[in-house]
Amino acid sequence: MATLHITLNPLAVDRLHEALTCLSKFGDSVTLEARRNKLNLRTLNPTHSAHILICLAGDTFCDSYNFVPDASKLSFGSNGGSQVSQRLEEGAFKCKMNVKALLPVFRGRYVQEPINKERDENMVGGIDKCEIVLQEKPNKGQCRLIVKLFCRQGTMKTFRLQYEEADIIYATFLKEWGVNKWAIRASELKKWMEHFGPKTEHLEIAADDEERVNFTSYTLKIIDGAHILKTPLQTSIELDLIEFNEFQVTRDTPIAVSVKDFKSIVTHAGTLEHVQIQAVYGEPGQPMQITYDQNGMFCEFTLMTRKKGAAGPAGKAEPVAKIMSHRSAVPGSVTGSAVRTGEPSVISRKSVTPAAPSMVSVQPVVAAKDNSRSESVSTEMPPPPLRVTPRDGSVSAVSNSRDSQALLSGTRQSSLSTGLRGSLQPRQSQSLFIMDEDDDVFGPSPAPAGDEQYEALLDDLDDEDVLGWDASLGSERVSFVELQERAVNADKGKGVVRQERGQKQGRAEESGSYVEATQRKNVVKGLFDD
Amino acid sequence: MTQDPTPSAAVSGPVFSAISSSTRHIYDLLKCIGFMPIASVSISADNIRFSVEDSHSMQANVCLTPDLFSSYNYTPSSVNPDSAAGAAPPSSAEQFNLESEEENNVKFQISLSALLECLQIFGADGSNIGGSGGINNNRQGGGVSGRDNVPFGRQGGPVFGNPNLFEQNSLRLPGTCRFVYQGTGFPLSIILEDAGVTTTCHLTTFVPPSSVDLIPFNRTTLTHKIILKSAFLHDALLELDHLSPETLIYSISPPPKRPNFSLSATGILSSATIDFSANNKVVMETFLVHEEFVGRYKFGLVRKAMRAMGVASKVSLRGDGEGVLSMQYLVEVGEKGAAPTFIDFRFLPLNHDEDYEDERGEDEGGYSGRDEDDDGDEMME
Repeated sequence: MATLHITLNPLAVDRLHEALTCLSKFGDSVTLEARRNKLNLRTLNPTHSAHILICLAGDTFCDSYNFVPDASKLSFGSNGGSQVSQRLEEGAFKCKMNVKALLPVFRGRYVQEPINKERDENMVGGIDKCEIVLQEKPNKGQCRLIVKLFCRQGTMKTFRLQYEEADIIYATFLKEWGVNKWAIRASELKKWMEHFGPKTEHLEIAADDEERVNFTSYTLKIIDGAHILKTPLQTSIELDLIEFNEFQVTRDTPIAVSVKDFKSIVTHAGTLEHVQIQAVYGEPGQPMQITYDQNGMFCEFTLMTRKKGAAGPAGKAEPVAKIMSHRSAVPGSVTGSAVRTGEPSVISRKSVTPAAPSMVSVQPVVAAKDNSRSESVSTEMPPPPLRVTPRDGSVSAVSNSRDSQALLSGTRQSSLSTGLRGSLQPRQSQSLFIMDEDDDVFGPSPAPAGDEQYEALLDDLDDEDVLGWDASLGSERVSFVELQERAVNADKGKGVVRQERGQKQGRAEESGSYVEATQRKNVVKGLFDD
Repeated sequence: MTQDPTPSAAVSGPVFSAISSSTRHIYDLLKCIGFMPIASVSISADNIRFSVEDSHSMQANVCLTPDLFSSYNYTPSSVNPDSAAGAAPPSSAEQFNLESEEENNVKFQISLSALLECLQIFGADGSNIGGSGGINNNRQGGGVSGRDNVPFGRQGGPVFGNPNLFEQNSLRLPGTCRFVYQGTGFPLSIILEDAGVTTTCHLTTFVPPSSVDLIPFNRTTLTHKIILKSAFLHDALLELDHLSPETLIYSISPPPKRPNFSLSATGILSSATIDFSANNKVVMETFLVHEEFVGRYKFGLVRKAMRAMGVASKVSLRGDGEGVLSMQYLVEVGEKGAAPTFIDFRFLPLNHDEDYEDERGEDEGGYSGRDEDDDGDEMME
C-alpha cells in the first residue's frame, strides 16, 4: 500500500491553487502521479491537442514530502544500480481527480499575516499549514486523498477527496523537433496577451524579419449554430527581438496555436515572479513545448500547432499574405463564409490530426505509454456526442487538404454557389472536429502509409454502411466517421443511404479520391433534410 | 389564538405606527430572512416580529425592537391595558423570548419580498459597503474579505424580485419612513417622506393561518450551548457549500473528546469536515456541552441562515434533546453601543433512520429523530 504524506506551507498552497487553476482551463480532470521525490500533475485537454505537466519537487516545493510506493507493485529483480532509476518509475501512485473538487480546497488559503492584532482576532481565512495524506484502503472502499488544513484559529478543515485509478498519458516531444526556440520574460508577454480577444481562436507566431516577431490572432469560427460570424477579427502585435532573452527561429516558420491555451499559459506564468517562458518548436504540425519553472514548480506545456493548411504533396504552405489577398479577391456572394474559408487552408485547425495523410511526420502529441496500451487514447476518449451534429458533417474537407489543386478548384465552384457544401468551407468546420478523430484512428500509423490505410478504412466503412451497422465493431473502436454514419443511418432510411452511396462511389471512381466517400456521409446534408 | 383585536379598532386610529429615519438597518435585518416570500408578522408593545418558515422544518424570526424606531406606538383596540402598558423595551438576549408570545398580539401575514422592495425605494439597499460597515464596523480587514460581499443570490433564489436592481443607487436620502397598520383587514402602509416627496406603499395583509406554530425548543433538555463568532461559522458553511451537499452533520462532543465541535458534509466528489477547537477563546466564547449531540440537517435549509451569519457578530447554537437546533444571531445594528438585535433560526433534524451516507461513526446518543408532523401537537400554548 502506497503511502504519501505531503506538507505544504500557505504560500505553496497558493501556488498549487494557481497551478490547478491553470490546469482547469485545459481539462476537467487532473492526473496525480506521486513518485519518490516529486508529484506530477497532468492534464490532457479533451481534443488531445494540449498536454500540461506540472511537476512539484518534493524537496523544494513542499515542506516535507514522503512517498513510499506500494511494495507489492515493485519488482524484486536485481537491485543493481542500473535498476534504480527504473525502480523509481515503478510503484508510482497514479490517480485521477476532478479538478473542480480540488480547486475550492486550495482556494484563498494564503492570507498575509495581519499587522493589526485586533483585526487578527477576527481573521477567518488563512492557514498555518496544509497536509495531504493518501488514505488507501482498497478493501474497505475508503480510498481518499485527504487534505487537512490547519487554520490559524485552531480550526481544522479536512477534505476527503475521491479519486480513481488512472494511467499516465505522456506527451511526446522529440528533441529534434526543437529547432526553433525563444525565451521571454512572462511579465513581458503577459502585458500583450489581453489584446487577443476572447473570441479569437488561434494565434500565429512568426518571425517577420530580423528584428520583429509577430503575434497575430485570428478568428476562425465561421459558423456558430445557425449564425454566421461576420466579423473576423485579426489582431497583430509586433514584439521587438530585444524583448526576447533568446531567439533562434528559422525564418518562414510561422507557427500557430490556440489563443486560449496560450493565454492560459501566459496567465499562469505571469503569477510567478520573474519567470522566463521558454518555447521550443519545429515545423508547423509538430508540437510546441513551453516550459518555465520556479521554486520547485516545473511547468511543461505541449501544444500541438496547426499544420500548414492545404499543403499538397509539395508541402509548401501559402504565406498568410497571399491568403489575405485571396480573401479580398473573393467578393460578395457568400463572402462571410467564403472569405474565412481561406484561412483553414493555410492553417488547419487541429494539426494534431493528419489532416493530410500524405504529409510527412505526422506525430500524435500524445502517446499512451502506460501498460503499453497503444490504443488507450482512442478508447479512452471517444468523440463526445456533441460532435455528431449536422454542421460538422462533411468529411470531404479532409480529402481536400490532401489532394491536388485540381480537385480543390473543382469543388470550389460549388462552394461559392451553395456556400455550405463547398470544398473550403466544409473543410473548415470539418477540421474542427473530424480531424481530431482521424488522429485517434490514424495517428499512430506512419504517415506515408496513411493514404492507403485511409482508403482501406473508407472501404470498410462503405461496406459497413451498406450492410448496416454492426454493433460488434463499435465496441472495439468507434471512430467519429462511424458515429456519423450511424447517425446518418438512423436519420434516413436505408434506401436513401444506399442511394447516396451509389452516387458517391461513382464520384469516387471519377476522382479516385476518398473525398466523395466522405461526402456521402456528409451530415451537412442532414441540415437540408431537416 | 384567535382573540385578535376586532376590526373596529381602526376607528380610533392605527393599531400600530412607527417612524424610523432610516430603513437601512430594518432592511438589512429583514433581508436575513428574506428567503421566503411570505412572512408572518406579530406586533406587540415590545416588538414587531417577522417570521418565516420553510418546509415546516425551519423557522426564522426577526424581532424589531422599539429601539430601531424613533417612535413606536402600539395601541391595540381591544385594549388590554396592562399588556401594552409601559413595558421596558427588551434589549438583551434574555428578553428575546419567542415563547413569551402573547395571545392578543396583532397578527397578520405579509409579502416579505414586496416589503423588502418597498424599503429599497428608500435607498436602503444603496451601498452595501456603507451598510455593512455600519453593522460590522467591529471587524474589517482582509480576514473577512469577501465575506460581506458573498453572493447570496444562490440561497435566496427567486425570492427577491430583482435584488440588485437598486444596488447602484447609492443615494442616501435623509427622510422619514413611517409604518402604519390600521388593524385587521387593512393594509400595512409604508410612507416614505423625503424633501416633500411622499411615497406611500400599501402592502396587502393576509389573515394568518389558524395555527402558526413555533418549532418547539425544549430548554429543559438542552444538550449544549455554544457561542462563537459568527464569521467562523459562516466560513465553515461556505467551505461545505462548495461540495453542494445534501446534509449537514452537526456534532458536538464534551470537552475531553476531540474535536469538540464539528460540521461535516458529503458532496458528490468529496466530503469535508470542519473542526472547531473549544479551547480557542477567540473563536469560541462559550462552550457548554452536557452530552454528545449529533444532528443531521438539510443543508439547503441551513444555508438560508448564511446571510444572517454574514452580518451577525456572534451566534449562539443550542440543541435540545429532540435534536432541534436553535441558532441565535446577534446583529449589531447602527452605531456602537446600541442594543443588538437578534435573529433566530430553528431547524428540525432529519430523521436518523433515513439512509444517509455515513462519514463518521455516529453515536446517536440522546439524539432521536423527530417527525415534522409532531410539532403541531406540541405547539406552545
